[in-house]
Amino acid sequence: MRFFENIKLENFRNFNNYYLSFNQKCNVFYGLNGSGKTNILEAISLFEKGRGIRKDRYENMINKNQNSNFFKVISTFVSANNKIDLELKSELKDNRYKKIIKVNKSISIENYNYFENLFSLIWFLPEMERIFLQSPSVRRNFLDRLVYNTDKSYVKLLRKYNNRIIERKNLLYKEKPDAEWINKIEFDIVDLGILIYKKREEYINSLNNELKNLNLTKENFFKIKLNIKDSFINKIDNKDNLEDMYFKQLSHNRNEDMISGGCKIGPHRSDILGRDLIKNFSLDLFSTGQQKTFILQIILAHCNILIKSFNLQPIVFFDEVCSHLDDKNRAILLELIETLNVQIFLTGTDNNSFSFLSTNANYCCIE
Amino acid sequence: MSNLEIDSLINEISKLPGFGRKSAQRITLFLLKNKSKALVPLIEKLKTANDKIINCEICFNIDTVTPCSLCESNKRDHLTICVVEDISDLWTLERIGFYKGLYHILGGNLSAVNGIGIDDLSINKLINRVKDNNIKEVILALSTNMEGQTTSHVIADKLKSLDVEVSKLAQGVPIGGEFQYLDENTISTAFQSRKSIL
Ligand SMILES: Nc1ncnc2c1ncn2[C@@H]1O[C@H](COP(=O)(O)OP(=O)(O)OP(=O)(O)O)[C@@H](O)[C@H]1O
Ligand SMILES: [Mg+2]
Ligand SMILES: [Zn+2]
Repeated sequence: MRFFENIKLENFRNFNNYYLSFNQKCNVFYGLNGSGKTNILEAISLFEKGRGIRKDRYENMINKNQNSNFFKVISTFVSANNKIDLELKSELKDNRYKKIIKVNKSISIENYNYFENLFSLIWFLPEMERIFLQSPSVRRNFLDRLVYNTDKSYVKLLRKYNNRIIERKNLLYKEKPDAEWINKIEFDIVDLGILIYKKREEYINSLNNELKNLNLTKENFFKIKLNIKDSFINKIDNKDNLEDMYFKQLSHNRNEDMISGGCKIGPHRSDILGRDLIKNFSLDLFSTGQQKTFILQIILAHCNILIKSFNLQPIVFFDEVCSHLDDKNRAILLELIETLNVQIFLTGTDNNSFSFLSTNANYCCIE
Repeated sequence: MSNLEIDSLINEISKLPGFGRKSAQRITLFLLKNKSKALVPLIEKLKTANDKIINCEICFNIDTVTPCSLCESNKRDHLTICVVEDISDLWTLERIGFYKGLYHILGGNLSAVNGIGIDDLSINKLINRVKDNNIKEVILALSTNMEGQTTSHVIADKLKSLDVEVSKLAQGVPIGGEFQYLDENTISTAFQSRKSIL
């Protein structure tokens, strides 16, 4: 079992100097709107690469009511018998805020890589209830985040791919792009694009497999299956000469892409759709509460995958999870909390709405 | 000298690579306190540099003559060209001293985002140089980052139709601009185990 044991916030958001200790299984933060519950989740999420659950700028995280120009988050991460000291600090350099993470008092990249590969953060935010109603990019990001959970290097792949797409766009604007140059960029796009397609497909397959086997038979759960919708890759039956066809299609689209300023084909245009196999409905046709169940089922299946196939410790945030909590949704949460070895953080305004949890949850009143 | 003049001197020095405001102040004060010992000789050296140092019209190295003394030397192998991003890479290789061919300074890497295209680098000059001088081998010693890789690939592609061996340094060695931080063994191993890419 691996988990965050505590957290100390200095000048972070609405907190001046705040300490909380956590339970290794289930933690409930309750308190009024604006008391800082989501802020605490955000602080924990900063220990991953990136700017955390809100994707906000670091300067916005510094407490504006204090006269300070940095924030600090200190924590202890427990991994079996090991305790790992974590210290995260904002730093202003060349007029830009960065974060510096010390793992066991050292900023060495080896220490961070070691720590990073011990756990994966999964989060449910209120807006995710509507994910099947939103734009494809939201679903794509959701899927990419799940893939990233299983493979931390995936984010580099995405970054390289996006970099090549932008490079191609800039080259196409030139009057006469150099032939060898644009060819090379398109070769790169094909290589990286196929890798992304593959990674996503592999993940979706294992997720579907896990969704099928979810041990949730007591209730009438949905049998959901996700699939990738992509105007390019879906049309190709024989994947043997995928590279050739991809490359040809890119060259063929140059003119059109130059005019639109984009790139018509590729994994950055994919969408993720889902169906319930019992009713045979597309997921976006279900009610809001039911759509929440889909996401919770996906998160449960995802945690199973992380534990079973990747030996990664899932640590799960459920921000304001209590709306639309019917028996089904409660059953999933209970399955996650009681059967899986997962550290969980739940937030809500009223502690009574968590009465369905067993009594050994760690209740923290945030004020 | 008014404060304004000192300020503008500090400002000018702080624009140099590797200098912040603090170190620029320190240098300014030092120069002003040691006019005859430091400032005057520096002014003279800068003036000479400005008057005499020029780019080699063949390889874009800097020297007091063009073609530069490397290009003119009869102790060098005139059938091999090593392509580097920057003059500092040439210096690194010369300091180690095992490479005996000629150089070609590219002046950077291709990057459409940053507006650096084929014509902003000395790529076409390189192609012509290879054509006109019956060059037998071109060694690409550019960065291992994406831009460097792209640039290497594009150059190799453009040389494909010519009768010339094109090779790249062994993978996994950071090169080009980063050369200076490597020890001699690493660089010479990378050189020895270079791979043909055509
Ligand atoms: N940089 C900052 N300095 C000071 N206060 C901040 C800063 N950033 C955010 N806050 C404040 O933090 C408070 C708590 O925000 P948070 O989103 O964590 O509340 P919450 O407890 O999750 O509320 P809700 O129940 O509505 O979701 C807000 O009132 C916000 O104004
Ligand atoms: Mg909140
Ligand atoms: Zn020269």
